[in-house]
Amino acid sequence: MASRSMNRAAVTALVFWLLSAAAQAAPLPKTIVIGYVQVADDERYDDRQGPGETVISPPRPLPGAEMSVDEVNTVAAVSGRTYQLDHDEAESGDALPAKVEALAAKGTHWFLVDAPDDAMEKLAKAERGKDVMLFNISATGDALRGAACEPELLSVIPSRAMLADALAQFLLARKWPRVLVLRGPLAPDKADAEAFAHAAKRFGLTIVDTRDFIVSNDPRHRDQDNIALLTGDASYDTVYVADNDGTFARSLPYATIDPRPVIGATGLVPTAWTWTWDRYGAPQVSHRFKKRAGRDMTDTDWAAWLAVRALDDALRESHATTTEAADRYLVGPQMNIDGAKGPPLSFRAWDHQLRQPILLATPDAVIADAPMPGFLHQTNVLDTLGYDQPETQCKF
Amino acid sequence: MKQGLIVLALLALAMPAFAGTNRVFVSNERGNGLTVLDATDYSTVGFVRTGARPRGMLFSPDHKLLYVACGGVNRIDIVDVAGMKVIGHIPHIDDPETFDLDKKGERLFISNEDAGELSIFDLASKHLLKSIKVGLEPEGVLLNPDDTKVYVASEGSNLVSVIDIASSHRLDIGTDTRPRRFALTPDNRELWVSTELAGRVNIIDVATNKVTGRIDFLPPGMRKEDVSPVALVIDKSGTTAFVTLGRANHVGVVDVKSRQVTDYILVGQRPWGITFDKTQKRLFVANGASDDVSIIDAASHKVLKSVPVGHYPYGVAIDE
Repeated sequence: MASRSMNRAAVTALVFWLLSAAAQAAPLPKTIVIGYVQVADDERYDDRQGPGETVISPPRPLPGAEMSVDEVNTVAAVSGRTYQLDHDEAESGDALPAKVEALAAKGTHWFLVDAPDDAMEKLAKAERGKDVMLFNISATGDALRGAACEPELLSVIPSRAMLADALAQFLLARKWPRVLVLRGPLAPDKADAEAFAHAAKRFGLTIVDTRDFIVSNDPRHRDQDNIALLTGDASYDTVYVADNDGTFARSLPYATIDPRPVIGATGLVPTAWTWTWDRYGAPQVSHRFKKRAGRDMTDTDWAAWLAVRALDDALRESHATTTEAADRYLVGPQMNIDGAKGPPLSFRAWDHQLRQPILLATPDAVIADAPMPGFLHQTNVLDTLGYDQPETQCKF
Repeated sequence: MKQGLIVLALLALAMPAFAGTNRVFVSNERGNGLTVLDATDYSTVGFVRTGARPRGMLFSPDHKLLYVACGGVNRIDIVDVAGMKVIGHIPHIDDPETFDLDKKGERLFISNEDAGELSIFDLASKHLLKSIKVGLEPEGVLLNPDDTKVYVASEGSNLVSVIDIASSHRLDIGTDTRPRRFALTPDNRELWVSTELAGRVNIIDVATNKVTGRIDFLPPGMRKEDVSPVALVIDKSGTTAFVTLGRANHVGVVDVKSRQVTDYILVGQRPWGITFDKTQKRLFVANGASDDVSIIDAASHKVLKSVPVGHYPYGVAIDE
């Protein structure tokens, strides 16, 4: 009896050891294959047919990853490593975990994931505890860094909260505290407006009113599709517009009843990257990208580019021999990634979000970069953007 | 006649090898020209209009000419030091920033950030002699004392390349994040390179081409992420190094032998270029974000004076 239970304990221990060894101690090969997955039916990349002209959708960020892989491979003699990209596409968000697992079964550990919030959340949940590390390069949802966070998910693209906080800091620095909020009908529009409301409260701005708009030619919806009506009968310094579709926002500047700047989805836009950013070596990065991709570098291109660099930095500096050791270094405090945005960048331990400056840009200029001067933090000023450790809802 | 000769001889004895103009040239990155200061009383004595975005500067060996990299107009302007005006250009250099000259002043070695190359120009003909691929965003360039090797820091690849000039053979050394500028110890045994985003200086052993030391900086009251070392100088005796710390608004003082930081000197905002005067009694520091130059007493580490210059001062060149 006693020996049977001991046997069982031994078997349990052995099984546990095998499982944990399988999950953690994959040795690093000389050539690292990075998985790159995207979702075919990702609506963010659909061209929008509004009542007027088609709004052209943003490009997919794959060239950012390809450029970065080529760049880190130029120093293979020093790093002792080369990288390859294994690119695949899932039909839908639901099919994404199976795609990732198929690549993982071939030995791929690190993935760049281009997927919207809901698909990213499902994937991260499905991969909990598995032998993968996912770089989120395009989903801005705060839940991914909050209640729905997972230790296997690293967010390179800034969160909605970070983008909204950057705008709020800018408005406060300019002494433009009164904001009229116009909110679109889509779920991400609501999420943007919510993040902005949170930022306004955090930094002491006043939201004078929040008004819902729809894009329509229907005369019965005049009060919701007419810019004059939407921006009249209120007193404000700026108009914040939440419009992920973009067909409404593009006509808003210069059409408001009061002559006030438009911010948010158009006008002054908070972003991780824009081609006009010209400090800290940024023009070289943007020039290289444009030369090979034939278009300007976007925020998600930058996030894809940075994810590969972050991985290479971690492998070069840590001298890690296992994926587990490399991952520990990657999310650790020693990281100082050069993102061509000024300060060294690293991942926040409490939610695995990349801390970084946010650019506040018009279509052809960067007006400011947040954190704005004067916004202070007890450890790192970059942590004035987004959910800080005491406020986080993320529990790993 | 004889008396006159004696006076001349005495004068020659009393004067240093070059009787310079006693002027300090400060390149103003966003001021499109050089502010010229008197090296004794620091008064402004002139302004040299150059091409847009003047940054790196070096004198010809005889100090008659000052080469100025003008990034905004893709050329190097050649300034007549005595006349304080631009008298020529080396055209068609993409966004030049930092460079070095060989000891005879015949060739110019410059990094090309966009193309990821080191280019070598013949100064007499102003022609490109050759280009050599290096890492991403090459920045600092330094020749070794006998002009056989050139060091290039590629900030985008965290790489220092050692290039044999005759054969163009390249050897790469990995560094900490964002390597920027160099200084060689006078005995040519150690190559010091600032790594801006790591907040450090890396020390490379010249014989083995390995990083053998790291110096961290953290001035009192500053944060690690604000420490962004860029330019550095080591004195002629190889005793003391001075390193500008960028956003940390200080100059770090390092004992070269022990590699210990011995002091921090508070200067203006975002100190960038740093230059010794000829006697090495004073240091001139260009403070990019506060539009002034700090003049430091090298022995006491006291700031003697801060002098306003143009917009975004980048570097300092002194003709004494």
